[in-house]
Amino acid sequence: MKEGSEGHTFKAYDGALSDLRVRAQQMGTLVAQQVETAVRALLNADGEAAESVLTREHRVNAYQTEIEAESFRLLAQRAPVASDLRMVLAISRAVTDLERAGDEAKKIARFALASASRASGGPSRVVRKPLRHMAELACESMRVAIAALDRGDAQVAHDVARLDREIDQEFEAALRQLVTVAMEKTRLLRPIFDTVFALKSLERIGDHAKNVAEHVVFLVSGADVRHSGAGRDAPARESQH
Amino acid sequence: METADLSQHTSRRFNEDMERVTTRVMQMGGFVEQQLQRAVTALIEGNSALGEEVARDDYRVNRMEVEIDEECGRIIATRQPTASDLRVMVAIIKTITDLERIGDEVEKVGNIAARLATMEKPSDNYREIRHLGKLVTEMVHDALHAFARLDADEAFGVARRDRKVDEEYEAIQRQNITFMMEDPRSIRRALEIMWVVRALERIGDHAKNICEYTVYMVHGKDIRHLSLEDAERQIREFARERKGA
Repeated sequence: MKEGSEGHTFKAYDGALSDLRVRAQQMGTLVAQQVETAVRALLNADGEAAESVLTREHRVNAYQTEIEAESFRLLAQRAPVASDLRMVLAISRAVTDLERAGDEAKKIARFALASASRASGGPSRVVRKPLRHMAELACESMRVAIAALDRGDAQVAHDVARLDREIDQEFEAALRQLVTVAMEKTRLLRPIFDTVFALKSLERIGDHAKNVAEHVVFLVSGADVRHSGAGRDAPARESQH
Repeated sequence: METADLSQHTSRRFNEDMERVTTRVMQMGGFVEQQLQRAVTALIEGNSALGEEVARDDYRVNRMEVEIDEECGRIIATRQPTASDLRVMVAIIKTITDLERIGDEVEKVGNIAARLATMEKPSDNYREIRHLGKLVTEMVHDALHAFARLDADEAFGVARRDRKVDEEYEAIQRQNITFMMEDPRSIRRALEIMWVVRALERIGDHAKNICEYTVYMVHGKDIRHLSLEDAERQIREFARERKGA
């Protein structure tokens, strides 16, 4: 954890608080890994990779429980005020989104596992290109958001929001494509449904990454009075679905 | 592990703060419930104006969340509540996050209802969706009721209903696919309906989350990643230990 780097200075926090940031960062790294592995499992029909995502899911949950319990202890015992309080609240919120992104990775892994055992390879081939593109965008947005959380860098929130918009557009395009296929090949409806949900999970991961970046803005605006109030005003937008 | 006891607060001002915030959470919950009912009605009646109105009004849910959230932050900072009081504050902050997400799901339903209004209605006239909508609306209502009364037993009962919602969800999706196979022209509509059903299922999840916060608030135990059976067993054991001590 770097402090005072790149001009976005946090004041020096005591051990417990910086511990909390380290744990959140570790959780973020694990979630990003989960997303990447799940996506690889899906694209390569790699059942083993999918299994490893499912096996590690409980670690994501354990991080959430632990970080929230620690946040609570900090609030109860030290009664932090102002920027420290904001930091604890921002981390709690980021952790919720990280856990949910981890949940989506789990769903993708389940789907990958099911389609890896399916002989046809299924309709994911039909949407392979947009699927791959969406997966890359989702992984990137997660990575960027988690790096922002690490550095306390509010500037990248715009980048993450832009990535999220791109993911949404790609999702809509893939959906249209799938509907066309579904109309022609009704026997593929069930696997197409599954693919739609996998795409949806990627789209959700983009949303969660954007939320994490917004929590960073909130965190920084508390730490630096010049940006105060900049964080929570922007309403969170989601796609239509 | 102590139990939240609102009658024992030493700070009268904290009590007043808490009462005010709780009232606002209930107002927010009431509005979200109303939005949910209106969204389902808009879909079933093919009322596109109502669907659009519901979607438009979601900003009010968002505004309530931000306001209550800020209020909670202010109370934590100025009153420095004790552990059990703080637990109530944390539960409130989490509850409004889930209410806000329910609002987002409702907004989606409203938008879809508006789009579907011009299309032909399915042959079952949304009977299944009406039923699922009723199930989740009741869940949200009862989850908030349990929350307001700090009733962990009721919260467990409501949380258990989420399983029924998940079953209904699976059944409707299967049926939806059958409809599509029979009539490929209905695929566009069926996909929209699929998102509605998905949104309703998610709302059930959020209601269950609120129940989990109630258990957390009352018993101080985080049960989110446990099965309901394990959670109930552990809570019973805690209660016994407390009595024994």
